[in-house]
Amino acid sequence: MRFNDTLLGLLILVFGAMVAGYARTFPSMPGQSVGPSLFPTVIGIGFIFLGAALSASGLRRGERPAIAAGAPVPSRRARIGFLLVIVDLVFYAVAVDWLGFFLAGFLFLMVLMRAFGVPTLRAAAVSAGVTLAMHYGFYTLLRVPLPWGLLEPLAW
Amino acid sequence: MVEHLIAGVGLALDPYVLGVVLASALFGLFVGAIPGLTATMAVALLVPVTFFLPPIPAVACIVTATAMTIFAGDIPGALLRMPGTPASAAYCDEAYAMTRRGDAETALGASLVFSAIGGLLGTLVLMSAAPALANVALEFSSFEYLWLVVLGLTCAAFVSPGRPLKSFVSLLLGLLVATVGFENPAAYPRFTFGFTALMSGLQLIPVMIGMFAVSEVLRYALAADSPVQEVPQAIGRIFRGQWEVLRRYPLAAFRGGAIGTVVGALPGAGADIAAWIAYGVSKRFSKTPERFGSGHVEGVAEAGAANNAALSGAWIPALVFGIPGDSITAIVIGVLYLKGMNPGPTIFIENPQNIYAVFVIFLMANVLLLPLGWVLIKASKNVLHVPRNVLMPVILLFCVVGAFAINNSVFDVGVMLAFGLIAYLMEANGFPIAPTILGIVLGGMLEQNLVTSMIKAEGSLLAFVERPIAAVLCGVTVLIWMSAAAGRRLRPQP
Repeated sequence: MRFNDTLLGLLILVFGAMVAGYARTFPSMPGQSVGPSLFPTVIGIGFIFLGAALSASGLRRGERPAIAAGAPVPSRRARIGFLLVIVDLVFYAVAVDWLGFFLAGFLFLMVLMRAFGVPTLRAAAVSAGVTLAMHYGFYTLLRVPLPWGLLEPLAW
Repeated sequence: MVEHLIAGVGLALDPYVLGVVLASALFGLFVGAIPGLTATMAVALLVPVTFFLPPIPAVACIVTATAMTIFAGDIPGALLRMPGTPASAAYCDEAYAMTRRGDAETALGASLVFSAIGGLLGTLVLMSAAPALANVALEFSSFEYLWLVVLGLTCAAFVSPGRPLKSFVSLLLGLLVATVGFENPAAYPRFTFGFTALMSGLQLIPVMIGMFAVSEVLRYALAADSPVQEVPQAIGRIFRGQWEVLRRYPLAAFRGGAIGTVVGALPGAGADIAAWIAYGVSKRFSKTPERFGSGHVEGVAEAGAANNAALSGAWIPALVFGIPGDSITAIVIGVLYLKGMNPGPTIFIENPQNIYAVFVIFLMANVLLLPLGWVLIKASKNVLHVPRNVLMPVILLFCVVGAFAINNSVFDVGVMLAFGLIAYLMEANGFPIAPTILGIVLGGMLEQNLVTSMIKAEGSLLAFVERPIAAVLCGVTVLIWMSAAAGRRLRPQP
């Protein structure tokens, strides 16, 4: 997703104002001129200036704030793939403790590979192989406590 | 120094370390040879692994993998005209022109030999410059460190490709990320919004994995599937004629190595910028500049040496000051802290044998590059055909397991995903990532030294430039700002 400079500048400016405003609520340190709010305030003001400059450069070219035109629109499949990357990550994080690494990892790979167009049989074979290999590497060699979840009775 | 070196050799030749070196070398070669996977990504993926290794193998892992990755990026560059990593982009067309002429062996051989030479030269400079600089740095107070950080961040913002305005936004974002948590001079929890997980700040590892690996997978998911190209021909004898090339262009090796080391040592500029500059310099001073672009080995050799030298160069400020020379060393600094090898001038006093072991591993990795690189070139037909749609999900699982393994917290996976999206949006809108990373790594140091200096100065601005080195560093910073401003004014407006 691309934005033009005018809109980007505006967003950065507003963000900077929010940062600086929030930083003003930090307490000051008794007896000292510099407190925890100084540094974030400076950063916020920096964002405001940079955002204003970016917006100004866009406005000088006659740009109205907008999502940049001309960028190629990704295909439906590509957008679904993009969303699935995000959904899949969330799924893994939520489900891994319950399902265990083997099942969660296998499903994680299967879903994405199918979304990226890998044939089902091949995706299943690779997913199984990679899950096993990664389990060996992290669990056996590096001793990372990957969860067993539903497969707890089989744990080694 | 000699006894430390010997102790370092002993540590580096440990069979466990050698095993790690070999494994990470293979990993690095593979990652480098796949276009779209960068050296920084290789490191980001390795960090969770290093987390569970002892200090020396952990660092060995990163050193070896990066040296291999930067070379391996030349292979798809020469064979398919697709640079494997951005560091190979500068001379990709040149090397591809050689391949089309039927000279793939010479192009790849020169890449390999000069990569190793460049890497070795850079390491020798690192070995001699870093301890010497550390001696000077022992005298530094908060004023010198403050200016050093400001200088480093200034470099990072100005040398990044793209508009300085956007580079500074990237930089500020990094500095802002660094303020999260209560690790600040006042120990006040900032921007935690009630999350206890944010109290100690955003964890560097999930942030890095998100910005360098998850963003790449997201970009892949959105890009239209590009068909895999055929590797044009069988590769013959790679090392044949390389002695001839080296004899004809000895200067290329040294100048490339030197340029690479210096550019690498500048904060924010890494192997990719080093290669562009070295290629440009090579053409400018060549006896036959007209042959550049038509498949001339001289530029490939010089730039190939430069990008590998830059890797070592970047370690100089990273080890001595804790200021990363590129985004790879930005991650390395995080790893060094995790492993109790805190960067800074005292690293050469407290645990010198560890640092010398790192130097020895650098040398070893660059020598090992020759045989392993040879194998990879021979196997390139197979490696380049690994389907991307299988590889990307595997990388993503590796990311999520890595981010998860460290704290077993779902929160870290969220952080990784959030920064993956942020990095994706930044790149799509022309904001460079490197300044953000430097900002995250240096933000704490900047604030700490700023606050300490302000308290010490008691309101006197003069105190900031009273000490000679502080004054020089301040002067250089101001000069860079002024020349950048003048450059903008002189440049014709589009």
